[in-house]
Amino acid sequence: MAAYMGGPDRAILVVEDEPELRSELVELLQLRGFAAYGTGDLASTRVWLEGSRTRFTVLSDLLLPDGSGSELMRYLQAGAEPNLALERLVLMTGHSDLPEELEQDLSDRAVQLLLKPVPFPQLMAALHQPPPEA
Amino acid sequence: MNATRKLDTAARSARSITAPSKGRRVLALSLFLATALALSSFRIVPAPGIALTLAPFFYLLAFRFGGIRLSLPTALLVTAPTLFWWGHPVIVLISAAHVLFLRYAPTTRGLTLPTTLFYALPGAAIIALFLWLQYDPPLATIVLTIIKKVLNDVAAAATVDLLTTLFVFRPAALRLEKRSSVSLSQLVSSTVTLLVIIIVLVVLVEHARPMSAGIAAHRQAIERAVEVAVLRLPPAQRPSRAELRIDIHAARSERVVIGYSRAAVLSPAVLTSLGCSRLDAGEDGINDRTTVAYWISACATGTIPTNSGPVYYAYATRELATDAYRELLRHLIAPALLFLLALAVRLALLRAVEHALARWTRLLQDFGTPELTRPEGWSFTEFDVPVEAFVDANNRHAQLMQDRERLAGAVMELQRGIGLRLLAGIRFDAGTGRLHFVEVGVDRPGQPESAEVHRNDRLALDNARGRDEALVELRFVDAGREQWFLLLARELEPDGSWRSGCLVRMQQPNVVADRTLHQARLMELGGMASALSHELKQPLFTIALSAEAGSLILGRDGVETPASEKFHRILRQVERAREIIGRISHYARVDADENRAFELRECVKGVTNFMRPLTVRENIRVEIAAQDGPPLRVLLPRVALEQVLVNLIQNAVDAIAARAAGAAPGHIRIGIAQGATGPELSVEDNGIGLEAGAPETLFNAFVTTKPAEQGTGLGLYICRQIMLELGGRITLGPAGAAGTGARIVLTLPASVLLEEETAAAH
Repeated sequence: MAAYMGGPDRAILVVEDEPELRSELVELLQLRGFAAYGTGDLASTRVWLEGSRTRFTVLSDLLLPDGSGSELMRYLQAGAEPNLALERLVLMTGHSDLPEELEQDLSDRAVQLLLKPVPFPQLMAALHQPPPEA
Repeated sequence: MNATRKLDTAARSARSITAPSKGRRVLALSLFLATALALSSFRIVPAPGIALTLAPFFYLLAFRFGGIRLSLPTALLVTAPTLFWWGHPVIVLISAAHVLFLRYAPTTRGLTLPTTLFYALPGAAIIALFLWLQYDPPLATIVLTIIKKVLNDVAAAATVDLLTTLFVFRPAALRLEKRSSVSLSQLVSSTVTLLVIIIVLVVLVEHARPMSAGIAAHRQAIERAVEVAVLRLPPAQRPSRAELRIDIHAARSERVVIGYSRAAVLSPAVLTSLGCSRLDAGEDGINDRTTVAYWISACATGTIPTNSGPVYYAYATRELATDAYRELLRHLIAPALLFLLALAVRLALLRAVEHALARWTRLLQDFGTPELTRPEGWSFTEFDVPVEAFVDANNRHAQLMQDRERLAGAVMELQRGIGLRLLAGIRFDAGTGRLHFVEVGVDRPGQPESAEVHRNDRLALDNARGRDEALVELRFVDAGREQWFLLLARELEPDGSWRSGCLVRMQQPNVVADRTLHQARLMELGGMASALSHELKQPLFTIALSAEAGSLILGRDGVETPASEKFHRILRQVERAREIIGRISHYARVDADENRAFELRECVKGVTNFMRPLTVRENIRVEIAAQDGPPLRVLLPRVALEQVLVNLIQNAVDAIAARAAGAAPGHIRIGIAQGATGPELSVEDNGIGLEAGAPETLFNAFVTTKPAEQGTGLGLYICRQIMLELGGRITLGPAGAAGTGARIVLTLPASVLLEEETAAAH
């Protein structure tokens, strides 16, 4: 169990449009020792990330009300904002039938995609992975 | 057998009638020649030197019947009497030359003109030369002789022409038959010629007849003058021979030799001095008193009884005859001119008729040419009426033909366009699997045809057998497996065939439409599985997270409690549910077809056709509004896009049908355009519209505004799934400003546009 505990230095931003799921995730991650926060859509995520000094690991749903997780991914990785507080990006989805292009895009950018319902140990493992070299 | 023999006999007898025996032919020929010779042996002599003969008539008739082979011998035969009359063969030679001229001259129809030509050229020359050499006669005599010969022969030629115009001789049957078709120009010209010739002949005869009387009166006058002269002489001075000049009239005196002895007056020396070679003693034989030669070479003699014995006298008749001939010639000048005029008129008339007929013929040959006009130039008024009637009728006919052709072309084009064939005598042979029929075409007669029916469709045809009206969808082996036809056959005949029907090539047969429906249901099922699994995954995830968190909260001190055991059970059950969902998800793919190149407009048209039964039922007008410019060709899984469009049109129809009664007519407008980021399709309706704020949730699964029994709430969800899969977007909004109706836009990625089309678009 101790292996799953995150250090207080790890800040996680949960982006999920369903409030109950979001609050459960945030609560569980906080219980696990992460500094976890939640937003419901793309726009507020941007505002959050651009205004923060802490670097976040972003755990986001693939489909959001105002855009898709891949759009978020492109936005985060484009490097348009050098001060962007992003450490890494992990995506989740409930859809099992994803377009091939998207899967290809994800693997090209070394972004991990978790399938809901994500088993908790798998989620922890994904979040504990060291950030990519780049 | 009897009947056959009878027929044979009849045929033989018929042959014997049409082909007379050689004996009969020889007999007929002999009869003709004998009649010709007999009639030619008579002369009609209205005046001395003016002899008419029938000989030319016979050899010209022979020329018409038997050509030169019959005509030349006939000419030699029938002119033979002239040898006895005149003692020279000139007439025989001229006749032979005449026949040869007719044979070899560049002749037109008819004998009249070549005969006239013959006498105008060689005939007249021969006659003149002969007379001049033989008798050295006065010019008037030569001219009169030529005119007489010309009149005689041309009259004969005109008569033969008239006869051959009206009748035809059948040498095989030895029969003269009336022609069923008479040449107008020949009839007119030979009749005119004949009538004029007859007029001239009548004039000739009328003026020639008094000639004999004139000569007799002349002789009496001379006799009396001689008598008076002799009686005045005192008997002592009566010479044995003397010469007197007796004035006949002011212009001319006659030289008369008188004497008291016959020998003194009629001695050869005296006759020679008078220019005579014979005495007019009334003798018969060669060159008798009816010939010109006689009168220009004879001396008239007579005796006057006086108291001192008879006085003999002699004078030449040459001057006398010449006077008479000159007088006759003078009378003939006007008729001769008339004759020449008639010939000219005849020629002109013939030309005119031929010209008019040629124009008429050309016009007739143009039959069927549209917009024919009356030919230019002059014509006979009598021809104008039929010509104009013909032109009118022709133009109407040509117009009709054009209309008919155009109509046939239009019908054929229509038939080709919709692949329609009209059939008759339709029969299905179950044994060979062939459909037999006769195609009814507007441009050609029907030919019996047959085509082999696809093996799998034979049963359907077999089942339709015996029905009064059959409607069968089928394929033909030759046309390919994908090509469907609809056969409609009607009016069952007693022999099991149908009297009439048609065969239509189907764009999309009902069988295929069923497949599309099937595909749609599969997709919907897949969509439902997908939606279910997705929608369940969210709550499951939340449950799992809650349980995990609960377990963590409880187990912070590491002690297992019955409560934390419950959380672990929840987590295990969630895991189980996750596995089940995983298995369902395996079927939950919205299976898209492989990529195909197609035109967006074609795809939209296909879908609207497919949905037509629905839109027709709700009386909805469907409009496809494609942007101007080259057609948009894309490379996409066509079935997937069709599925989206089917769903959207279904939604639009439902939205229109859900309106209150009495609303405006339903209208669905499907737009095809090149948007900012790629091809855009929009579906717009005037249905009940959207609730404010609803749009985004409508794409979620199991969300519907429709009554519970109508909608699964999956339509738009599946659409979004498919559009995601195609790499595109789907957005929803109100159609009108008033908030009525809905407008859905499908945006495809620019990458699906086919290269050459985008290049052409720029």
